[in-house]
Amino acid sequence: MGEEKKINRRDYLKYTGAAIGGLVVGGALGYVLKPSEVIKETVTAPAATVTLPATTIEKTVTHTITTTITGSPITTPTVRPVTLDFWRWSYASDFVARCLKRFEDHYGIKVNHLEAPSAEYYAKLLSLFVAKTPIEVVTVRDEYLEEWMSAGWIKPLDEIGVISKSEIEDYRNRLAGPSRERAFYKGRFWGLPYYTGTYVWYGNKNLIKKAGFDEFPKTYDELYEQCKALYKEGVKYPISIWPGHAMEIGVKIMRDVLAAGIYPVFDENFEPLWRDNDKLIKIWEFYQEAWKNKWINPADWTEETSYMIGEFAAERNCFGWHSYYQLNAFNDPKRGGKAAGHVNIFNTITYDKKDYPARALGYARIYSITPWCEYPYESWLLIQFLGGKDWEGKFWMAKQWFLNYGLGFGYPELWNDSEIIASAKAWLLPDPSFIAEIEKTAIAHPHSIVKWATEWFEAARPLYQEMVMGTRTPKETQAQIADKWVELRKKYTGK
Amino acid sequence: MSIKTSSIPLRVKESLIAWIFNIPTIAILAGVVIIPTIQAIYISFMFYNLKLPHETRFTGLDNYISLIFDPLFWQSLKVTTIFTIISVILIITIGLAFAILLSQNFKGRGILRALMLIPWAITGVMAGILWRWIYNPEYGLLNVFLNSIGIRIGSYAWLNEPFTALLCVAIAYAWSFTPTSTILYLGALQSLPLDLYDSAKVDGAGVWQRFYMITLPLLKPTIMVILIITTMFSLKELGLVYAMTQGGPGSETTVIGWLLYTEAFKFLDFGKGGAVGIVLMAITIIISFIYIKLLYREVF
Repeated sequence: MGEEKKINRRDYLKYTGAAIGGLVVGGALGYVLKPSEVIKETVTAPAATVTLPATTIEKTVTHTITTTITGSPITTPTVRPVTLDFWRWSYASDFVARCLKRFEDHYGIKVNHLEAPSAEYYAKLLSLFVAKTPIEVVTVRDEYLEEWMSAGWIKPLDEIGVISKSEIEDYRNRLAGPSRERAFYKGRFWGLPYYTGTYVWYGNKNLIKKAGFDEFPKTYDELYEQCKALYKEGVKYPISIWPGHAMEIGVKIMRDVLAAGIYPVFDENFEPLWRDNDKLIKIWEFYQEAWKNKWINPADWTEETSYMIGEFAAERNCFGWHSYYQLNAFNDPKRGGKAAGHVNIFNTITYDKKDYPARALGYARIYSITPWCEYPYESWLLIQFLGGKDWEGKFWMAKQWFLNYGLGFGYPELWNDSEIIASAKAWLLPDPSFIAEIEKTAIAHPHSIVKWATEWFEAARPLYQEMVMGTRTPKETQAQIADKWVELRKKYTGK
Repeated sequence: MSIKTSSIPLRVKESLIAWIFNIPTIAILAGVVIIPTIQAIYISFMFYNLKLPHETRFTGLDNYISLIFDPLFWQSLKVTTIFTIISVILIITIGLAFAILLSQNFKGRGILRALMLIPWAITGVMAGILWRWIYNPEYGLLNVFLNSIGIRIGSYAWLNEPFTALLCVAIAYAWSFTPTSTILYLGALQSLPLDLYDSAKVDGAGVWQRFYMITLPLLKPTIMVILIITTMFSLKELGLVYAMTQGGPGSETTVIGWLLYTEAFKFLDFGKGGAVGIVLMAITIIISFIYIKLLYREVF
């Protein structure tokens, strides 16, 4: 039998004393070894026309950030080493992962970088929202900003209580165009821009010269003549109607509606104003004629970006209409093939130039947070990094997107950046200032301020495609697209 | 000596045991088929849109009425019918041809039989991606092949031309489903009595006569089974359309499965999507019922 060991009073005092002593020594050592300096980073605004309020960020090794911003006092949040779920549609995934590493290394915050294919992104996110999945940051296209906002699937950033009014105002002042329109949609602060852009007409200058033209077309009649001549010259498909998925078809319909001089596109009761418009019918007849004459590649309906770039590179296409960032690939000597250095932006084509101004379509994609976001402050830091200023006060990510992929930024002051100017001059032809001129007339997607935009795109896609392919007349297509709009309006608003 | 008997009659006892053994199957069927079906029927009579969760309400036949007035619904029915007819014809005929070929004795038959199964093992969406590449206008295998043998097709966009898009999807579908029919035919062919063929040979019947007079009549039950299965599966096809055409160009390949997917999972309108699903289910049941009636009348 083992002998029962008892602790006497002397042993008890001995062990307790040793334990307390150990704690004291440990605490003292910890205090001595702790880096005593507080890292201070004074962030100054980059040269800009808008003055940035002085922002001081104090960062300790425990990642406690005290933000002192001129303006209303806000709570002092602490950066926690949390993991943020961040959803985006697949694009330049490796590049984004590398950029996120910079954010993670700086703040000690992990970012769970989640992606869905671009065409599936909307449906994927809807399923997550319906299940109230605790996602922190999501990327929002302007086509469904209204829908997500009114459904309560994204939350205004001015509600999360960690951003000062002056900081919000600063962003409002620095943003411009569709980016500001979307970031501050209906007077609330919904997020910061992922990228922004303007849909533009572009064409291969070299090819039109070969076909005997000095200038790009200004009207659909001129476009017709040039396509005819280009086709004769051996350009297989003079005009590209890529891409053909629902959302882009919706944008194309709006392009044509604007080109017919219809603006606004619906009245205050959301009644579409494009019914029985002769100019729109004529524009659509141009596309029917182009299809019939085999000037359009049917593969444009389904193929991906790389395919379209290949078509331009091989000079099988001359004209196209999409966001100007595409020129980054077209005019790149490595990817642009024969077309590199010859693809230029030109003014918006209209039915005729006489009685209305040409309008371009602008758009912006923003980063927002969801109401199920568990870490609002950390999420705001991520949104700022991705779409605003980083800890150095620089629009680092926006600049990287432009330099690497040609994606537009929402901050006009970046046009003063020498690196951006040098990069743009190489591919944003004829001159980067030209896009600035076009952007002055740009309006944000006019159809995207309704909750039924995404459904309308889906319904309009087959109708528009059938019209182009000649199995439906432009007149009936106009009416059916408008009827669908009204049907969906009734479904979503009851009137 | 007295025998102790149970108070429960044997018939009841057997029935009880049968029920106990069937409980797991019934529970699984109830969980994955019966309850969801009842729920789908119920939802189809409601305004049930996940984007408008606060407006969920009973709306009676509204979803069905809106389908009746939706031209896309009628278009999808037309497309589905054409797709089903083309696919079923291809699967039944090509499957039979392959089965007859593979039932012959020749070297490498085993390898060929194994290769036959490959399309069967590939999922619908993957098969769709594969076929999209084959049909690609510029670098697709089909155009390259046709141009190389002198058929100057150029860079014909098979999946984007209204006249060929549906046919191309149906061919891809037949490719994926043919191994199933080949296997069923092979099983049936191997059970055919050889003495009938021997007698026919003695009577001077040729290859075609033997095929028409013996093989085909004896394969009738198998053909009917394949007909039912392929029709049911073709009616609800979605994977290939999803991967190859997304219902386009226009609505040329908008099968009813794609319409259902769009309504329910793109628009989150489960009410209307449910109504499409119920209509599809009703069509499938009616067609299967007709087939089964024919099968029993003609064959048994």
